[in-house]
Amino acid sequence: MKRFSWLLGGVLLGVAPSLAAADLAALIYNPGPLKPVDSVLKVRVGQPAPDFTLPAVDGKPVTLSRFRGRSNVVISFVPAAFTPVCSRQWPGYNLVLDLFAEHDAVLLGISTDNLPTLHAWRELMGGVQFPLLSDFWPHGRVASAYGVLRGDGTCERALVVVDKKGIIRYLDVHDINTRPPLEDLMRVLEKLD
Amino acid sequence: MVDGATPVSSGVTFPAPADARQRQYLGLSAGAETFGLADVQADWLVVEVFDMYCHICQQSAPALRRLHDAVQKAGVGDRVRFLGVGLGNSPLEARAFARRFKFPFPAVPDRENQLRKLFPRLRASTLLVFHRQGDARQLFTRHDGLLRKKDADELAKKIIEAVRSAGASSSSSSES
Repeated sequence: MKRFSWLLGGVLLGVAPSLAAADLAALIYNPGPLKPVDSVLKVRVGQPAPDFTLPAVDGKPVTLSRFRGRSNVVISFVPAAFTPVCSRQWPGYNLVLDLFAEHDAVLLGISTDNLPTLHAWRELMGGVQFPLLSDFWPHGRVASAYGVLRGDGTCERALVVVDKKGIIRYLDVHDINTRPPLEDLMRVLEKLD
Repeated sequence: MVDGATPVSSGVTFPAPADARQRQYLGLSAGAETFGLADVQADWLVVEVFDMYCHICQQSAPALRRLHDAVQKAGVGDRVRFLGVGLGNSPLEARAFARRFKFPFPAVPDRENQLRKLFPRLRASTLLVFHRQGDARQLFTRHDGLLRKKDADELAKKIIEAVRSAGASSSSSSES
């Protein structure tokens, strides 16, 4: 597994800087329009967020409860690596991490892809700076706990905001085919100040 | 010299920047709430079509600054205006992109992808350079995809030469 990760990562690292945008676009798999939502939420606003520990691309497992008392947390579930909307959503969030930080919020990205895939995808996205967490095995356990695991094993495009007390303050299970407006998320973070 | 024949005269408008200096830079009246590309008071207009969520656009931003700075350094900055347009972006998203890359020129949102009325297959990142001809603007040149340093340098050279050439011909015709 590590060897595969190294090979694929190396290939993308070596090639990506010289690829034209059209070539990069060719690496994106477009599944076409999908059923907007294909799961049933198991959590609601005002409840404690289900805790989890997941492996991250940079090697350090991340535990949600470690942020309690320290930071608000924005959890961004996305459906799949190398797909069109997801491959833009996270680079966009990466650009505004300072806006999140202004509201004492950290961002955690979660998908059900495995670590080698997330690693390669991160390079394609230009190297995002927030933790990318793999909910691959047991497959989709965290997504399932929140009720955002779709029937095909991918996650919903969902945003969960957890405050410093570990309480869920916002849930947006968004149409998987579209990107959630940044304004909506920022309004929620402003209310946490 | 016109690479494309797309006339840009009306029908596509953007919210006017709130900042008075940015409005002045574009030559917009103080009361204007919206503006079109033809309203920008400059013979040459460089439009960077970006999307806050597009990492190619993020990678292109430093070269765009380089292009802007080269035009300023060449002394033709008063005849060339730069404008960022956030394709599909909300006001906050367009503002965040401009802030992150310290754009020294205005950036406006195009939430409804209006620019695609003029350029149907338009994608971010694309750089469009327009030249005013009469009351309309014609596309002078464009660059699609990642903007590298060398692309910026080549574009700067092309724009600067065209502006100087246009300036020389207009001054010689006014002398005759």
